[in-house]
Amino acid sequence: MPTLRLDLLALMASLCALLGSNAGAGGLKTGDTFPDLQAAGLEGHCPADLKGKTVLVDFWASWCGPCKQSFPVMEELHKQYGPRGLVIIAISVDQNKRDMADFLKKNPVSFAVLRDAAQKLVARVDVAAMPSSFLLDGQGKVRFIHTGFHGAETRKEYERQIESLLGK
Amino acid sequence: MRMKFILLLALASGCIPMTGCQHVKPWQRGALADPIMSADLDPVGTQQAEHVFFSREAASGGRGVGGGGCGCN
Amino acid sequence: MNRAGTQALKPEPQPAEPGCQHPAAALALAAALYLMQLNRAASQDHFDYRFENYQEDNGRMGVQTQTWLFEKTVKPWLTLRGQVVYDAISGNTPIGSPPPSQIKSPFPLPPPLSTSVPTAFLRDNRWAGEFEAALNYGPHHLTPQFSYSSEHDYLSYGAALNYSLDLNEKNTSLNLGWAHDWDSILPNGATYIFTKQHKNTDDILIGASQLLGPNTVLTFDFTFRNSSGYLNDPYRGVLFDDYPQGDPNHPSLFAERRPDYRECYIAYASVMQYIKALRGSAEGSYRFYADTFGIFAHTVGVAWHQKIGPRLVISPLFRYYEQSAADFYGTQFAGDPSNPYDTTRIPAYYSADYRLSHMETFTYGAEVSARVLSWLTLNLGFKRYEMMGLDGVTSPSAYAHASILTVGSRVWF
Repeated sequence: MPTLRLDLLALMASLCALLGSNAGAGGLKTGDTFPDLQAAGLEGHCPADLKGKTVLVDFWASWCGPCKQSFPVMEELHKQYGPRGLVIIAISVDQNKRDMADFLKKNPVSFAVLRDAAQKLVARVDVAAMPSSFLLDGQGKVRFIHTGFHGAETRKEYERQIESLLGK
Repeated sequence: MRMKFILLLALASGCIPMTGCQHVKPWQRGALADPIMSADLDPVGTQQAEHVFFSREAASGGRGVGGGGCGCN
Repeated sequence: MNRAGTQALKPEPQPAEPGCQHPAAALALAAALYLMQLNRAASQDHFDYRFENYQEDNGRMGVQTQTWLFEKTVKPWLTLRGQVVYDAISGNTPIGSPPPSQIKSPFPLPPPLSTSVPTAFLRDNRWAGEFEAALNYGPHHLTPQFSYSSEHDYLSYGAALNYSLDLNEKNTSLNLGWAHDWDSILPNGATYIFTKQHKNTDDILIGASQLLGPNTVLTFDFTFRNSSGYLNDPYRGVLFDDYPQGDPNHPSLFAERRPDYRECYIAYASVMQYIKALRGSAEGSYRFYADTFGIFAHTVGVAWHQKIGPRLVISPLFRYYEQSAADFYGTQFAGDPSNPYDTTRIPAYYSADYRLSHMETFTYGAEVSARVLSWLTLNLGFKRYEMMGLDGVTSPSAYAHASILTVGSRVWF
């Protein structure tokens, strides 16, 4: 192997070490209490009195590809588990209100949709990717976290996790 | 020529973390998700254009590797 | 035009193969239509078709290129991409001789002699295909690729492997790439070769992409390439001054001789900047190229992408390219290779291929892209490509000036 290739590889390795790991900053973890949504300064009508209810909080944006696929799935979960007490709250981080409105026109849903216009709540929660969702139990504690949306796989996990939380 | 190339590579690699970078969080990627910001919006178009340049100019490549050869140059 | 020392030569037009009736194209289309049925939901998967008509002025080369591409994410960790290209090539190309007016002849000939470089007509068709599988595992992305290209006089097999690593919450991406091409150059009645020749090329790339902010992307790439084997153009000849010429309108040429080894060093940088207030983005790039043929080249490209309404994007572009000449380039050479007593004056390497001369090129034009339906995008583009000599010696008639028209579509499925 010519010397040049070894030099390049050595530089590459040192560059990787220099730039550090890929882990996101310390975000919200399972067991943590989710911030109070009423006090978070969100646009839109936040469902009152979430105590004792299982809540699915989803952070999304109109520009996020997988969000288009997750919305119909969440609508089905809302129809299936809503009567049993599941509350779904989808929080958009769109900085442009019209982008969010256009998305909702193309992907209409019947669960609560709010907007974190100042992107303060999402920064506090420090999600690792878009979309990210958090399943909360009756005490408002984070029980399950989903980073990204992976189609049927994520849907199955949602069903299993919601069943386990509603069953209690 | 090789040593100059390696030094240039090292300099550029060192510059990357030192440039005035503003860290972009996952929820701040709205502009980057816009199709007009994608690295290669039209890969077929780019490849056809690069093929024209490769067939008429002595220099080629630089943006990526692969794609095979042809008798065009 | 004569091949010096051998029989008189005239390149024979090759019979054109049937074009769009080729089974591979039909198969690709059928596969694409089948894949479209599988998932009607709004998705990132797509099928592209694009037609390009490249036509040089004054009856020079014309190439009609058709490309079919499909991309499908079959699993969250696996995306497949396949592409088929068909080129129909025909037209006149310089044979390597200077204009008849610059050839010295012992016989006095009536003026005027042509001041344009002699050309020969050629026709060919090319089929090429590429297939790659993009594998994702967290921040790791590995993409093996295989490619194939076939013309009546050139066969190429290629393999490539690209790896990229996301770091810093996807603010930084490090890239490594390797590719190898195994090429064969095949003789025919018009070439200076009589047996199959081989050429091998290795490319290594190391690069990085860095976000400078929510609206700015910076990319650096360094490429090292080496090619070995038969690196000549099998159709181009070279005029030697001391070889006795007859009619300058039909000069006798020798096969060109380039080195059988070439190392290339390429540094590339680009910036993409989003400008929210204007609903547009700017793209700028620079490439430096140097190789052991003695060629140094600079390439600067700028493009603007302007959104108009919710569906339209207009992209004007401009590219400037400039190269120095190869060390062994000349329009004609002193000596006579066929004379054993004259060999001391012959250089080790020599080529009169105008594409190795000191020259510059300008590319300018625009493309319009319209998302006419949620699942269909159409595009139309036009560019001019102008080549100009800078050495003051190579005849301006050697250089090509072309119009490039493109029409394409993308179907999302």
